[in-house]
Amino acid sequence: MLRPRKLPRETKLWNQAFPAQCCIVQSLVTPTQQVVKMAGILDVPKPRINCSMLSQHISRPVCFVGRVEKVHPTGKTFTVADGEGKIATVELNDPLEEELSGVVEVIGMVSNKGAIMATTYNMLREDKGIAFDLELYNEALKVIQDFPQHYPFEVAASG
Amino acid sequence: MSVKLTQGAVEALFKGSEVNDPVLQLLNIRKITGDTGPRYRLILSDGQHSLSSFLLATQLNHLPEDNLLVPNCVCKVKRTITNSLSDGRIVVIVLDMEILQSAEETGGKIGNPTLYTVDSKTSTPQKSASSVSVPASPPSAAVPGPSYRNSSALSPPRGSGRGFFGKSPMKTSPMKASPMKASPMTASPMKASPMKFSPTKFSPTKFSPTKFSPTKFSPMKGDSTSPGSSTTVIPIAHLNPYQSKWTIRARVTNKSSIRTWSNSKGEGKLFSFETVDESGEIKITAFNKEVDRFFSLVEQGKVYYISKATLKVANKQYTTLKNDYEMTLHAHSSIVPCDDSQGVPTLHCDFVPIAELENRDSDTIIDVIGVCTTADDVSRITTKTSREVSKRALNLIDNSGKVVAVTLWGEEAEKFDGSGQPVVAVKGARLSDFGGRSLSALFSSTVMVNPDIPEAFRLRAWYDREGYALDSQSLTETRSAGSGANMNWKTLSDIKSEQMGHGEKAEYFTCLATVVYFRKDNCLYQACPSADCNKKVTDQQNGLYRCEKCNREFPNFKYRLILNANLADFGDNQWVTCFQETAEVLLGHSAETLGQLRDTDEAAFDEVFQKANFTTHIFKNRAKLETYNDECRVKVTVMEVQPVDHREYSRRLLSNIRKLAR
Repeated sequence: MLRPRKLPRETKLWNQAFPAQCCIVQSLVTPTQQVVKMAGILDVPKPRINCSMLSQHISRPVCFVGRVEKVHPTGKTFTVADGEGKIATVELNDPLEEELSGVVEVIGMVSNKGAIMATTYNMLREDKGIAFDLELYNEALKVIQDFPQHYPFEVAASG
Repeated sequence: MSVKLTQGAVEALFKGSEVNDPVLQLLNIRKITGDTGPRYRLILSDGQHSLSSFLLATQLNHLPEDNLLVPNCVCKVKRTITNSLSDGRIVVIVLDMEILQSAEETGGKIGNPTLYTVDSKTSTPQKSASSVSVPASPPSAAVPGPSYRNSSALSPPRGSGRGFFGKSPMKTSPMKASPMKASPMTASPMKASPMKFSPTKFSPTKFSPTKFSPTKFSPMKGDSTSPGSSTTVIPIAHLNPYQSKWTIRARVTNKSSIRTWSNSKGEGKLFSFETVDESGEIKITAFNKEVDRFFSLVEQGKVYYISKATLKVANKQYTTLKNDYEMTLHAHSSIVPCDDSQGVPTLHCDFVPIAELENRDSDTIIDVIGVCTTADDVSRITTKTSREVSKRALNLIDNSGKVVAVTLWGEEAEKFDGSGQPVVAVKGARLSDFGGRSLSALFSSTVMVNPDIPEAFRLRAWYDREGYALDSQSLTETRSAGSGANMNWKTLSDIKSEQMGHGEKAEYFTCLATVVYFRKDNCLYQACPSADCNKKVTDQQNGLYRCEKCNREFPNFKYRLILNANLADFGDNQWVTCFQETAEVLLGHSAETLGQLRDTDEAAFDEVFQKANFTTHIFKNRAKLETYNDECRVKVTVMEVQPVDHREYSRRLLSNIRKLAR
């Protein structure tokens, strides 16, 4: 269903650092109703952000990785904390069908209020593989932000 | 006009009692260099007594500088403060004074003041006995006077105070009221002594020597009145080879065992010990006969009075103490146990936190203290000189959270008991870069288990609270993840760009790379089955295999791996060779198994290589220029293969990026 995205040479360094992550995107499983919506968002570049960058990406598709804090009783919204400890809210179209815990990767659009309207999410299993180091991920995000000339994700994705 | 001097004022001021504006005559004034600038020392008289322990407060320095305060002038002392120094001497500081009458007007000395001493019945005015030169009182110089705390001759440039005599009552005359210090003083240049009252080694010719009695009174250090040796104790820091009559009071911190030697000049034995007192430390050695005399007497941790030994320049090769000199005991030396050990420190230790050891150069002598987490068993090693020595390695952790390995040798290794995680302090261990960073106890090191020092208690408390649970990092790691000096991170493209291996020596480096190809055709060879011989054996075709090195034939062989692989990273790729151990790690199977698979199941054999292909590892390699049939090329051999620790690697990449960005 999903084509693995072609990654430019420059990002290989990043992938060296996070080999686990380059497989994440490929493993999303999408429910049928969402295919159309999803197709749109999944074909565009989604910069990885943390809470401090939310405001700069309003109305844009993003990828947010964070640790699940609290899940609303309705199951339609939950909060996540990023590597710096700041909290963001994630809103879903359909209520959660499973227990959500640990580190999740959420793909969606940033609303005007700074919440993430999720189209899909992915739970990074804590019982498998190496535990995800959120602080280290945050450091990498900062590097990507500081050196956009070396991490031209946008250009590559469209190419 | 004559002014009346306030008689008895000197005595009162000395004793610290209130005197209301006494009028005193200045007999003499002397400039001394103090820490903060020039100070002026005054001899003031009240007509009855004179005293030289007056010091002018700096705010009044202008008086002598403007020549207002000159000998023989009369002044009213308006404000004073009387201090007693740490060694018992009294000083009266003149904070405010007014000149009443100048020297010219006064004419000469008023009255017949005698030098004030504790015992006010001093009679003989100094001047009578002393002629021009101070020390020229041969009788006193010659009499060391056992009942005086008189360092009979050369005493170090301390205490140029006058007259504070301690307990020994003054005997009158022939002994001058105040103990005199003898000659060398005049000779010795006015060394700036740490005392403010410094060296009144005045060359008596300068001033009317009469008034000045060169009473140097040796400070009483620690009052122990051991009857026999009532010589004054001097601090270790003041010892030098130019004085021969001194006594030190110090604690033995480290006593070595008796060592014997025999060389062309004959045989001998020696033992040495280190001592410490409040001022410093010094090493003392005893040879031959003195060994017999003193070895049983000297015990570690006890305080002794030591006198009459020879001092010579320290041989820094054999000692690590901070003293320019060291002492040798001879036939006249005396060591007397001391009961009063107040003030003598137990050990001078300068502990370095273990985490900081990385920043120190190797081969430096360091003191450390830590809790012993683990201790290996004693092992016996044969050294290069074919001596058998016991050795024991233990791990110490301290509150910096780091661990380091310490090696003990000989008897200390054998005696050491690491049970119960004791606090261990090592003084004088040598830091080496063996395995990163590690410490080795030298012959001269002192190892103390659960020492009685505050540091030890602090460590114990910390360890019981948190330390025991710490999963700390050892500086002495042989794993490449440690902070050893053997991690030389490179990328594969660096090999060509830096021309690694082209020098004379092989170059070692570490890199992260992925295997992209295994040359599996020729990876196994048949080797000689005898242990330690890995030479290829030739198949004699008769069921026997011949090893040229051992010159023997065997009916069997063992399979060994020589694996050529191509490694790649983002920048470049590189052919490397992996031998037995590293190849087995890469492939995940032993050579024997692979050999059998090759002979039996080809598919399974290929499968092994398939699985190992495109796996990423951390490789520790050696690059060297080798000549093979007239061709020179750089060959890279893999020394060690390790799995990638992504976290650690990421951190390194991040820090490299940040460094590059600066």
